[in-house]
Amino acid sequence: MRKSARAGSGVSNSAAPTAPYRRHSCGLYLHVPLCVSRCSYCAFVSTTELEQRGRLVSAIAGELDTLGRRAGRELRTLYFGGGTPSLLGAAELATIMAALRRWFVVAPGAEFTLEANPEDVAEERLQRWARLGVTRLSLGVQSFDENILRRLGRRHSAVKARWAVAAALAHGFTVSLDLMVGVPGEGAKQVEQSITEVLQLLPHHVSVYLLELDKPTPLAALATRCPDTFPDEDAAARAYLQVGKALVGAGYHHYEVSNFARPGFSARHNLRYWLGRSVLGVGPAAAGQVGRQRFANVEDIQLYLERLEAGSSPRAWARTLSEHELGVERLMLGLRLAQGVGEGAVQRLAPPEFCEQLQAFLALGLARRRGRRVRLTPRGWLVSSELLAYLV
Amino acid sequence: MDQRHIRNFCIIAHIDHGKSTLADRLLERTGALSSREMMEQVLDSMELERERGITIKAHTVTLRYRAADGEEYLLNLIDTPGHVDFSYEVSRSLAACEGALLVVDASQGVEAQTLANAYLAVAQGLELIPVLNKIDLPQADPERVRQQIEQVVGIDASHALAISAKSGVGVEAVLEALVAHVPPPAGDPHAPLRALVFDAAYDPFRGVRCLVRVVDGRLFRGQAVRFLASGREAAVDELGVFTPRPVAVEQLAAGEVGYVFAGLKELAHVQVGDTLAEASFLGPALPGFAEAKPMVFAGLYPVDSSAYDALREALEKLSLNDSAFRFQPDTSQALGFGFRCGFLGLLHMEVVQERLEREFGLQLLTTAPNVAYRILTKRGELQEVHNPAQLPPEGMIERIEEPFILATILTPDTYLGGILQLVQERRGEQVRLEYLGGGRVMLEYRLPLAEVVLDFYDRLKSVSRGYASFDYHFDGFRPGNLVRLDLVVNGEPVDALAVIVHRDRAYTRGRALARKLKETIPRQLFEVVVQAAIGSRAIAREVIKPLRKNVIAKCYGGDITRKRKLLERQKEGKKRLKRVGRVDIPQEAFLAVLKVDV
Repeated sequence: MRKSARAGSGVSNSAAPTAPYRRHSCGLYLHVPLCVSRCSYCAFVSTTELEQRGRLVSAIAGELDTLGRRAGRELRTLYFGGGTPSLLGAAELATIMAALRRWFVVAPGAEFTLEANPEDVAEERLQRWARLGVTRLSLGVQSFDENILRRLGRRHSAVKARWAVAAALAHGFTVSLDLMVGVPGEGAKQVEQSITEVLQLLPHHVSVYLLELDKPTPLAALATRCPDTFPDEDAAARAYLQVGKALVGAGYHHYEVSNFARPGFSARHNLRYWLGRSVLGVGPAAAGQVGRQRFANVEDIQLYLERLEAGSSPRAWARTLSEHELGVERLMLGLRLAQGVGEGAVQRLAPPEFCEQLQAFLALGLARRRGRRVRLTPRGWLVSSELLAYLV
Repeated sequence: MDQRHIRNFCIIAHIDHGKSTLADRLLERTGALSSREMMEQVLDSMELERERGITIKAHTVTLRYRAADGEEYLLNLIDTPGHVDFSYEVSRSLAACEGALLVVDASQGVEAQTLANAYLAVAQGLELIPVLNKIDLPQADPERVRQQIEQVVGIDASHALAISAKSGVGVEAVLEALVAHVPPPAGDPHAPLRALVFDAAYDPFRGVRCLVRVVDGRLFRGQAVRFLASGREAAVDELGVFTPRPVAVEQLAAGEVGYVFAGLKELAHVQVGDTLAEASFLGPALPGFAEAKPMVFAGLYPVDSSAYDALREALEKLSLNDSAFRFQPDTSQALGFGFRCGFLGLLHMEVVQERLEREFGLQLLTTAPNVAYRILTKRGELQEVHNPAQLPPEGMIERIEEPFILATILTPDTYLGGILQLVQERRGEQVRLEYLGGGRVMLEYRLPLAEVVLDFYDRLKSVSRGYASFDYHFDGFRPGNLVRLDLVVNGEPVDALAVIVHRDRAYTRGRALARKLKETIPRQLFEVVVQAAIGSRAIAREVIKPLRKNVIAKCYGGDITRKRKLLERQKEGKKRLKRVGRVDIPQEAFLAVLKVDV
């Protein structure tokens, strides 16, 4: 972790004013908006009409072609997210990879992550993914409690999840495991169980997400209807801190609000977002940033297909961030990282109300100062919006 | 015109019982306005007055009517303000009349407002002509209402007129009854001038316009005059009558009603109820003058503190046309810079607030209203306190007096139990309870005004499902066992939340207020303790646990833009918070004291 963080602060390509397309390396995010079924907490762009998959794969390959013709470059990180990229078949993956390699060079040692649902993990698939160059699997385990898994609308069992993580590790992948806390049916016992299971499996990386209900999902509706099903705010906060403490005790580094890694295994792709480095986005709703340009594709899958089939751009919007916006965003994202931000940057960019609130955070032990840097503590992260709201 | 051919009258009616419609019909019948010119409800000219169906300022209109006896009469209709808050103005308008039409909806019966004003009119010796309106409605029951008038108002209603102002049926009879039953004015046309000022309004181009009733002598153009109460001298620039269009005349003689411009630039120079006399006059003023005194006070603060100057200008403009309204700069540690404002009553407060928001486009934060208190200190000084935060420390107070009202409530007897409980809760003291027949009950209660200003009217409406009507008039100050209840947030008393309450109620109210604040104040980064205290003694305590969770868990890629918007929304929310000490208190909390029901 330390290594990548230092490397991060040394690179300043995103601050370069002109399009650094050709000269610089970047990351690439590819969104596969297909799912067998929709999970109750999820509001990502995805469809369960799997008959669309043929058209989608062609469209994605087509977008890679147009993007690549203009902007072929070296990829340092590659991330297939979704949706459920793990349900793509061999031929579909081959089509996408062929388009990708036609225009992009995947740098030696690049991180290539594929998001996978535990139920999709099988020996043969693991071999196939490895052959394609995937180095890292992000497994959506979410919980080891059958009851919770059912409520979340997950299709796998705890047994299957355990096996999937172990198998992925055995095949030499870097493995990241997603956990959710604050979910309905979660009590002290379930939290303990998650901790025990994770520490037994010992993946390289763990993401611990507090349930978010700000988007219209079935779970958000449930929260309005029967809030008592959910652990209250305090219990959810306790669970988050408890899991975090256990992971740190086992040698993980809590390097971002929701992310933990064993030394050297921070998510390099995600760090690109948090450090403001260039990432291209491919697929419906995918967003990206190159230098000061930020852009996103249309979210509507049909529209995405139609645009690409008509030979036009799937872009929904693109805009240039001002130097100030960029700086403020860097502060906001930086404070979500364990490395924190420089006090100089705070003084230069943050409004007085922010500085006042930061003082309160420091006084309450929610933030800590070390040398010329300031960072939030885990308890501070839990209430970080109370601070970051004063930035925007 | 000969005094014997003049009739000065007003119309007393409950809201919606048809006062304005009848006035329109009288204008039409006497040819004051052709029906083509008729605009609905000509007399209520302020937009707000029309919308709410109430009259805030007085108006007059002079009608020429040739009666059945072949003679021509001048009928001066004086339209009085129709609400309790303006009862002093009402009494002055009544003083300008010799008679009144008591208009009662024949389908509804007598209501509280009708009663209160009818009593005032009777007390001032006016001749009341009962008029049963809306007799064309299927549910009209004129006989029952006639009996009700006799029983409750205590006047002979055997000759009550049955009319429909809407269709015009019986309007002719109303005009004839005015001529036959309202006595002509009795003043002395040869005595020195004495005229009653019963209203004053500000015209941005012409200055102050007074409505006057000449009692003795005559008022003419160019006359040197003096307002006896204020002592201000002036010269009559213009005088005239409303037909309803203003028509200038050379003079107004004893018994006549009209308007006067006397070169006055500020409304503060003229007080309703004052006597206008010749500059050299040495005799007595007309009886009944009193200064309009605000009874209800509240803080008005701009929601956006940069609008302070705009608010001050608006208040200045407003007070030009509203002599009863008072304001002075005030600072609250919680709400910043604003104004302490005095109103005649709750409706007056609402009207002012609404005009400020509507006519001046201001966004206001209004603190809970309170009444004026009279304090006798241990050192024997008498003070009037308009703001609970200014009450001297308990140890320095010898006695606190609070204003009382005499309330009249009319209700179907089904709701009597609930209403009795309500007035009991509000420290009410029964003066009279009378069954009116037809399942109606009339109640008279003496109540502390403070118990009425918060939400009494709303509660009355809710316990009676809207069927009870209510009116009151001021009934003097009385000593009470009152204490100041402070709300203390993390050790800091919040000035804008202080209230004065009866000692017996302090404990329950303190607990309820502390609980309400706990519900309203969002969790902060640290523990917040809310206390209700009398002096240094805490009587209630609530703890707001520190906030544990407000975080964006997932923040990747394109979502950054969206998450930023999420934070922006949170920041917008924070703008509505006022920081007291270290604690952020939402504006709702300052209004919560209004809604606590104990």
